[in-house]
Amino acid sequence: MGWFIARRLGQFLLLLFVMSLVVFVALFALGNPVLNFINPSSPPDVVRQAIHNLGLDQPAYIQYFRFLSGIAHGDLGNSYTSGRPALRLILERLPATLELSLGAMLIATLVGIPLGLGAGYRPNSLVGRFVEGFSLLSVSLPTFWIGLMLIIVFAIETGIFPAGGRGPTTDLLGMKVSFTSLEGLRHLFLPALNLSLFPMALAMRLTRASVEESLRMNFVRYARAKGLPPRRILSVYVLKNVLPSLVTVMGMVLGGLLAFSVITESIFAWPGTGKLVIDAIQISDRPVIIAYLLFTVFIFSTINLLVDIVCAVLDPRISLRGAAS
Amino acid sequence: MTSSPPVLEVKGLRTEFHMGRSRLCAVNDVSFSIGRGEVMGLVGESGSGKSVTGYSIMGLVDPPGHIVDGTIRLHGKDLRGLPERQMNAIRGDRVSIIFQDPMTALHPTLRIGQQMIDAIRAHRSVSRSEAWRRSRDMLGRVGIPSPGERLSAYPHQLSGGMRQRVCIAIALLNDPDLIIADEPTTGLDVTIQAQILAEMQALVAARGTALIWVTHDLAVVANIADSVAVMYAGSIVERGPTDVVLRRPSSPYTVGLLNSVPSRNQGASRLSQIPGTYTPAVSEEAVGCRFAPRCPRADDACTVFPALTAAATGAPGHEVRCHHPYAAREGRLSHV
Repeated sequence: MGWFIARRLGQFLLLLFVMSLVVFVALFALGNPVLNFINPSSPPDVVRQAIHNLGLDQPAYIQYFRFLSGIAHGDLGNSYTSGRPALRLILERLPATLELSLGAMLIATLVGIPLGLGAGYRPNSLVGRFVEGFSLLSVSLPTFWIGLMLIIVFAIETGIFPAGGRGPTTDLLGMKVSFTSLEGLRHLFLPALNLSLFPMALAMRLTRASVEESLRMNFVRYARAKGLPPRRILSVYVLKNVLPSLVTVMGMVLGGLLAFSVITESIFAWPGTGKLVIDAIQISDRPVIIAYLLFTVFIFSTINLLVDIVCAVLDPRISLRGAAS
Repeated sequence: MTSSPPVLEVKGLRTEFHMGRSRLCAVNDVSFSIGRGEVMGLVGESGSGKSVTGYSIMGLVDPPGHIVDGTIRLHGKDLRGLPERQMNAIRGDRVSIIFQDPMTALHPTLRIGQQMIDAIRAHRSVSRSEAWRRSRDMLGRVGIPSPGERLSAYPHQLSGGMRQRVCIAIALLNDPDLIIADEPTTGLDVTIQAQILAEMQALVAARGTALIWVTHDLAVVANIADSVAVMYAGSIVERGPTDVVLRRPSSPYTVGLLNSVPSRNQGASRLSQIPGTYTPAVSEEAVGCRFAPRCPRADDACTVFPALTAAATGAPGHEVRCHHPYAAREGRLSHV
């Protein structure tokens, strides 16, 4: 287990290095960011001074090494616009995104997996048909459109939920969270529901397909031969077989939600990292973009590690020693 | 054959598989009965319908398969048409089955103990610890060393022989009236096979459990079974007491089958073989004796499907489904 985590850590650092290089080169190619946020009519020496202050007059490789040595000290640079450390900006916004993504995943799994189980068990039942239609619809309809519809129906027309923004926050383990209060939950529900539709459809379809496959397995027939009630067969014998692949896919999806929930956050004016990075991209706030992309590498690596550990717990045939590569 | 009422009585069983427009008849007019403590060998090639017969009794034939005709009486009660709930109460309790491949039958990611405890608690309201104790005792009884530790093992941590013993233990857990063993020793090497066979025989004899041993191996049948039913293409072509059927076979198919068993006395001569190829799927329209195309004795009469009739040996219960059965003497094995 220790060896496994150590190897994973090595892979993570390598990935981080490669990612930093790619991102840095790509952003450098975009040209000088200073012109985006300095008054174009400023005198030339002021512009030159600003460029020098940011270190942008140095050759690319020197900029890159300065950046790398900064990382080694936990410093990902300061935002060009606010002057505050980029990593701190991200970490401040993280609880909001974390809350939103986890809320969405919770809805997706709590609704998607049971419905998928039912649909896989009885494909021609009402549940089966509903899952077929619903999952197809929510995969094919664009997220932003559904988000707007949710706002129109539930916020503007009926006023059950607020149209956007985050509710009041309280401190929990040093993070500002909003799900602790009813008002916070009301604000969280619509964006979380909107964000949950895609993973929900995915969970449904995946669960349904794996259940249909599992039901044909010999061990299910054997469980029936033992006279086990169908409920027990489905909830233990089938589910236990379905979970590892489900966890793997949902882990990847969670990574995607955390890193790229930009659209939903924009529509619902949710003050998360997605909105932060969109703003940063618009004005070429280089340190923030780089810090954010490196941060997504960290998120995906961590989630993959957790997924592998969970799968090893679920399936004793998986050995973590061999699974690292 | 027996004076006491039979444990299981199957009459005119017919199981079909509906594939699109065509209907394949996997089991056709199968009848037999088995009494307390009896062992019946159900013999046939792959695809002869012997496993489907077993599944039909258990009510485990899945669509597109359907039981379309016949009765399956357990202690006189017809299992066919029994609601799924009541059938579930019988499965694993009064009738249990041992599958051919224990690796795929046992759930790969559930502990052995959990799978055994489930089998008990589906039918008995006992505590987990009591179920655990019974499971451990049963593992011990089927010859598994340190059974307490094995209960917390996963199937992949046991050898093939051990896994099959676990399945046998599960079959015995609720002290059933009938066990259907579907080629349980096929995947095992011969020494383990012999051990399991002997243990199984002792266990069912001690409890008076009826046993249907489904196999393609005549040697196994000779060892274990009181009576034997030989199946070909979904029908029983010959049945009777084991020693009579094996020593004085009446059906040309049984004779062919016995002749193709390798034996030590045979020397270097080429192993005899039934001519032609076996076509397992029998479509609805097929008429006449299914074995006729491969049969050395076939003639025009064989275009009519024969009925089971008493064999020439006159042995009690010895019946054959053939228009031209061998007489009592001439059917003896050529090589024995």
